[in-house]
Amino acid sequence: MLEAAIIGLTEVIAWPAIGYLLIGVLAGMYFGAVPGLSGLVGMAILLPFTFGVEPVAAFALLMGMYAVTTTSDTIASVMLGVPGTAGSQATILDGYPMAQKGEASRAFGAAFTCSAMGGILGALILGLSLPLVRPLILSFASPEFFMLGVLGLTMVGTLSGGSMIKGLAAACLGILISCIGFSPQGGISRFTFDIVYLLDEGLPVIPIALGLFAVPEVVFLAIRHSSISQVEKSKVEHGMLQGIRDAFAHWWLVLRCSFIGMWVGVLPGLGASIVDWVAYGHAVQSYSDREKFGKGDVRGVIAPESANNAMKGASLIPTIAFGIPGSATMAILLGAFLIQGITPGPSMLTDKLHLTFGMMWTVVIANVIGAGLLMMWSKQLAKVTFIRSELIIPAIILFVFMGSWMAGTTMGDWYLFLILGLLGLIMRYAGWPRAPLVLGFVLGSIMETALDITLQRYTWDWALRIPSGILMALCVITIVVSGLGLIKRRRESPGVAAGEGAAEGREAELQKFINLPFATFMLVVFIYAITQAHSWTQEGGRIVIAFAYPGVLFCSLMIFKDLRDFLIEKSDEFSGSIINQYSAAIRASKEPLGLLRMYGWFAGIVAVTYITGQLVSLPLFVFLYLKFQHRESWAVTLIYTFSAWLLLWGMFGEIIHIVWQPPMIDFLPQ
Amino acid sequence: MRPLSKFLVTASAIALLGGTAIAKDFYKGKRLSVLINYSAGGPTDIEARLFARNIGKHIAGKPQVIGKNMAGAGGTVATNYLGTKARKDGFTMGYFTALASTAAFKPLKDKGVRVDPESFELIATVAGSSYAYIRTDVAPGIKKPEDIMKTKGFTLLGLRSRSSLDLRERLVLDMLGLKYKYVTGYRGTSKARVAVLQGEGDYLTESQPSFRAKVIPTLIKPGKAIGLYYYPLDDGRKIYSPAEIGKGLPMLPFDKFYQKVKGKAPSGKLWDVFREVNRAGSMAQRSIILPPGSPKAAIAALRAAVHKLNKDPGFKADATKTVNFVPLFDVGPAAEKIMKASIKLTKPTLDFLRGYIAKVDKK
Repeated sequence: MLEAAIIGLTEVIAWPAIGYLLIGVLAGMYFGAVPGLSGLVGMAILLPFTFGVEPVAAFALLMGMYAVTTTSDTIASVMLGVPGTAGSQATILDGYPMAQKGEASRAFGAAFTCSAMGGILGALILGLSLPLVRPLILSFASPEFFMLGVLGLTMVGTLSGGSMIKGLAAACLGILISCIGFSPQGGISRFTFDIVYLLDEGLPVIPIALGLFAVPEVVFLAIRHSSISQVEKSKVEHGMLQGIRDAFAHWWLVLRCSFIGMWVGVLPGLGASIVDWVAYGHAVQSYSDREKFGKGDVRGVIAPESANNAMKGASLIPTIAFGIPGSATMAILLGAFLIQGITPGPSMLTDKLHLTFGMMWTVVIANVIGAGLLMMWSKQLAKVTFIRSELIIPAIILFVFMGSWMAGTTMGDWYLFLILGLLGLIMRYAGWPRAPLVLGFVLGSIMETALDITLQRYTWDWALRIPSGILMALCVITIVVSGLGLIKRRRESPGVAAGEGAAEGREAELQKFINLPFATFMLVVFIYAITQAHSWTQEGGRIVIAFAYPGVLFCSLMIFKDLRDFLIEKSDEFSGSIINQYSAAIRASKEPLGLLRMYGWFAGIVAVTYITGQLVSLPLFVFLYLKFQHRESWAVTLIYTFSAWLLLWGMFGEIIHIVWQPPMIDFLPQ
Repeated sequence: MRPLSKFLVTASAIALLGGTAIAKDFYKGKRLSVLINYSAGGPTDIEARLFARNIGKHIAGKPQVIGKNMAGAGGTVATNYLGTKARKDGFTMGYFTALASTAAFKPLKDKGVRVDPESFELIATVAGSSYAYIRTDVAPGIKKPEDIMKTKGFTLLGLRSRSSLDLRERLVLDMLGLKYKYVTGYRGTSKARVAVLQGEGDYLTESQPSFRAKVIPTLIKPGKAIGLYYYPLDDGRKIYSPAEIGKGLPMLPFDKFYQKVKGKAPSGKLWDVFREVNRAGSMAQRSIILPPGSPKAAIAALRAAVHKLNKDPGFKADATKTVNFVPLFDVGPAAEKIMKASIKLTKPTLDFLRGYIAKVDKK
């Protein structure tokens, strides 16, 4: 094995492979940094450039690109509160609050360091544990995937922040959203309302994540009229070096999360969408001072960033050893193998082990180069957080709209993004944590398929399988430890709110006003889901029933608690009837107007896109927003608008070749 | 070559030569987008991009050809887009999977197709077979395909009870009179293949590219599984198996396999239903189309180009390297005839299938 590792290394560092690797790294940094592009798009674009190139160089290009998308995706997550790729959703929870505290440089320092460490550790751990990989993959069948889903759901407690009940209800809602479309058996169309966009086997995760997290941040940024950083540049205490020190100081967390990332990567079908949540949840669970998470704690950046890079090398294994691509990106890579005349199979772990090691080394080297380059630029990048919001907002909106569009290139992606954006806003006002919703959404489809097959294939004897038993024990331990921790914290500091959704003082009062109607609405949604599910086949309705009933319970508890607070424990500040209290709260808040204005812009973008397509509508929005909403100078407005058009035409049109919305006006480009 | 095919090919060639004069400059200096109705990385995408990078040089005017993915709703989102929204200017074409079978199965599962699939301007179709395999450790042990007849029970894997893949799997096993446990609901054949590898299931069917490029190296060569048979092609009048689809494989087409193990040719209700379902699923497995009402010059230019592509040794070499087989295109009138024969299931077949599906769908 050592010989194969050395041969693999010498092949990768030889010319021209190393040159291809560098080009791949540069491309990957770009694909990761722009929300919605990701490694999948990068792989599809770079694949044709590998035709005629010898195998080691070809894979250096592709793997070099793929390895670093989860390093540079941190940029959007930290600076804009927008996930750069599906693997950096959890980074937002603490990365964006760090940027708001003026600590974007520190977040970058930590994120890039632990991304490199995670990428290297993941590849090395994997290299050492190759003999274990085959039996592991073979022993994780449908029952184990179901139990992994359950184990993932136990993270909801740690991601619930201020209110466990709200977190649980959000997770149930996420699972319901994951059921939209055809049931795994294909017979039942669930919650589709005859809309073609919904007639699929699940919704795409990117418009959902962008809507839930990016829209509220854009709206709040517009309302605040300040830069992303709420701290002046001169008052920032911690810079990039502190971030690097943080990463080394928490080396044990980096190692654990790299391990998590590696194993999630090895198991085909789990993928990038959950690895960051699992690592983040693990980090929150492991510390006693967990109330700091969600408020800009560097550990909340270190955990997901270590794991999502460690996953990269590992996700190669099922692809090359079994011909099983765990994701669409790996499916394209598999296509590249075939073009190069390399046949996937067990021989990749025996006779052709040097090729496998070559790819691992590519991941290691790419991670080091990628992190190094990004660190060099991070000081400049962090400056974006100090630019005033008027100039930042058009760029964010352009990227999040295009990021959503990339999911399926239909207007359905935009509607999904905007509806989830509204939901995200209301959830934020009502104090519902959004992370459990995403976790429920991602795990829902994995769990449903796995449970369905488990019950058909194994009946109930699956519970006796050893791996299932281990996972079941892990679930029980997690729940017990979390429960005991919760009780202990409540006893020690009963009034301390923590994490996303947590609020204090007046904001907490406002949450009650928003939460009551929202919880009531969600109660109706859960009841509707139950009535629908009972009319479907057992397989089609099983998971909906399993999670909609608890949803009803959690919403009912919230409504009961809020009503009790209103009627019995009237707060001093909001006395009088409920209606008076509502109007007082709304008057006290500037948000409704700002929110309406921003959604007016969004509606305008959608309407104009139907007429002109995006190549006109999005630059037009940039122009109007800068010139008429904020009275920017002509020079700034025109340069900005032209740059937006150039990006759309050049990057999305000419390089990625996306399908645009066809304009109604004939002479406009389609 | 069969007489009918010979006639259709000749007729196509004459029509194409006539159209070429008009089509000569249609694509000069232009860009042609190939819309792919499945996501990047899948078999449709790989095949469509293979087509896109080889077709340009054969189109008069040598346009730039680019591939674009539009996945969703089992290919229906792109079908609706090309049929109702895309400009009918000849510069956007579709390389679609399952256009015929989606239309044929519409009465069974309403997939939301908002356009008549027959209204598209058909350039060409590609037929594709499916290949069945089983784990070798199924009792009492399987060393050659005929040994499946000795089994007392195994687990059959599928995607959805209404899918063409599942229905054909069940129909052939029922025709053979074999006992099996049916487990369905896998999200794609690659997930089901993992299950075979893990021993969660024993029997599965996959398309030609997947079987040759993934199943053979990972399951058959290591001795974990054995190929059983592949489905023959069927134009509605005759069943046939071109040499290309079984090339290099120690497997028979299903009709010949049945004859070998049962001593007679397949017949009866199950066989009649299988033929219709198989025709819908395999004869026009891929369809190359333009939006309804596209310019005649574009149709002629593209048909002529695909005709040339069929004979291009460079394309054959690229295809063999990329997908391990060479897709053969039926062009123009030949494709139209195939589409017409594949796009509808008869009422008795639909009635039978409703009951057949209901048997496995629990309330």
